[in-house]
Amino acid sequence: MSHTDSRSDPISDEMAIELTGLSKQYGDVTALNSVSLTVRRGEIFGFLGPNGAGKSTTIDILLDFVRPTAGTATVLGYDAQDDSMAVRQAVGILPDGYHLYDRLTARQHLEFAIASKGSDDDPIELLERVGIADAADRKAGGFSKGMKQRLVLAMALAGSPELLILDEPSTGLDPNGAREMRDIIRAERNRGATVFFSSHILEQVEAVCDRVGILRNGELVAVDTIDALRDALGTDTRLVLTVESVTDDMVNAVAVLPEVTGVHADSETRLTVTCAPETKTAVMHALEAAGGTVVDFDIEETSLEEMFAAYTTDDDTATSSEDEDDRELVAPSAESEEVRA
Amino acid sequence: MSWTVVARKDFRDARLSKALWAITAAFVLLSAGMAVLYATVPELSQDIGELSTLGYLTLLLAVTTLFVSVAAIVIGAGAIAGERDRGSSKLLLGFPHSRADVVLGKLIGRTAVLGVAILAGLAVTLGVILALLPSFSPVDYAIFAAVTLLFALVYVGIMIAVSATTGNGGRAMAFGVGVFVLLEFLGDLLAPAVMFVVNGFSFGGLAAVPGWYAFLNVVTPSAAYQNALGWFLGDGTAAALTLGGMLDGAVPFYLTGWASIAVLALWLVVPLVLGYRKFAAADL
Repeated sequence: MSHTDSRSDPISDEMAIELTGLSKQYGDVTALNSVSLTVRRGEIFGFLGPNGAGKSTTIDILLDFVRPTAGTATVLGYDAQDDSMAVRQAVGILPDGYHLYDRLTARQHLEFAIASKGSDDDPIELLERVGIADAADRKAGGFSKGMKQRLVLAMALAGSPELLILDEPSTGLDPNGAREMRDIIRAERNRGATVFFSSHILEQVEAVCDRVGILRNGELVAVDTIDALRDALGTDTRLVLTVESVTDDMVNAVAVLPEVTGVHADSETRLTVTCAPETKTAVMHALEAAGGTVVDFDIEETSLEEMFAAYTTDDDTATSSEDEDDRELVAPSAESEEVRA
Repeated sequence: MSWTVVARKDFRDARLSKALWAITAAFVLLSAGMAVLYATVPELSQDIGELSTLGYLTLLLAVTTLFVSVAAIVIGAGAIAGERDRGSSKLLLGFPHSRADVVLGKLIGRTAVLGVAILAGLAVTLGVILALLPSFSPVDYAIFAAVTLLFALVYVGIMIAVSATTGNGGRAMAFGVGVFVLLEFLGDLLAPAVMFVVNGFSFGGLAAVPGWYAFLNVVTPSAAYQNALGWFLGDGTAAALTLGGMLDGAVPFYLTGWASIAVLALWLVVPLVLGYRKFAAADL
């Protein structure tokens, strides 16, 4: 794999982020294991994974907060370790687990950000973009989590960075705030910036990302568009059928069909069937043969949450500790209703 | 000049620390209060025989030594470690500041805060002196202020260096207090202890005191600060002569005020370089 530190290299120049065999050991613990990844300029890249998968460690390496044990990271053509100042000059960052200066106001935070970048932004304009201009002269110590998140985003936008690195940007935001965050992410991309953000919240990613990478236990298990990842997981479709009354006979009749992988009675009138798409008709016939009258039916694609789970969970041999990780995944509430067992 | 951005931010932040305001208030009260006592209670000025700026400053020296060192712990020991502990260092270093910028910016920002506190205390005290003492030496007072500011820079530097070695705010504070105890209390034992060892684990049979023994007495930051002021204030050589009185002949160069300034400079640079190296290599 060719790699270069030189920014003038034409290939590097098209890459916003280039990770090559990146590893990080903390004593016996492997936080990252030989991760190689390329993020192109101008795309919105979602970095997915359960908590503890290594997302923040990767971002910490990009910003030279943490030094890799092996491998290299290049940001906008600059080596993340040797040329960190150039990286951080060109990047806007919303870190994870940050803390604001409680005694300083929002405006003073932005003045610091603007002076640090040497840009000529207006603090109030940036605060307006994130919707907290009215709190400009309040001390950050009294801010809610959501307001803090907006303030740090405003700081990240100072100097119109070429690349925005956002670690769990929607943390602490209400749904409205999360939507505004997505709007800002899109606006920044449209301005020409690259956006790299990590999340364990799937709705965020599906809504804005051009491509996603899925990290699990320190290893990159998939990188692609969401559609391609969904396809790669197989073509199982979910049928949601409404019948007049669900009986055990109907469930059994459907369950024995060869292409059906799952049947579940959601309520007295609703059945959810997971099956290959071409089995739809057979399912309907089996149901009617067992005495059911189909009132309504709906076809659902594999949900993002299921896709994510498939990439981040081991098979039946999964250890209990890894199951623990998966529970930290947050699904959008609408979807979790649909898959409720 | 990236460090100036860090320093300005830090000054704005640290000056609002309530602990610092409390210490400053205590310093102002102590410093001005001592001036009142010195001028009104005859026993305090008996040694010197007459009321003077110099006589008062000699008394004040003990107060500033303690104030500066304790205040330096309060505002310096958490400067870097505390930010790493809370996570604001990710905000700070997410911007294009090198870790050297952070160390230098913290040093200047926090020293400026302590400097303002010192100058405030000395200004209030100046009012008391002008009102109560029959004579006033502006030159002595200015020298006192200048050397005290240098001492503040050195002590804040030592605490910033301590702070740079760890990512745990509580541990940094404990290290800071430990260093303070080491320098302020055990430092006094250094010369006799070395003498004891060198003399074959005994104090017996010492005819003349060697030069290095006198030097070890002015080698800690506080002792160097006090020796420097003793040298530069009023009849300069008096203090050094007292110290060097055990020695034969003239005051050796290493007991002069300039030597003590050089010692302070070493105390400023060496700990900071060591602390910076630890910080530069650390994972945040």
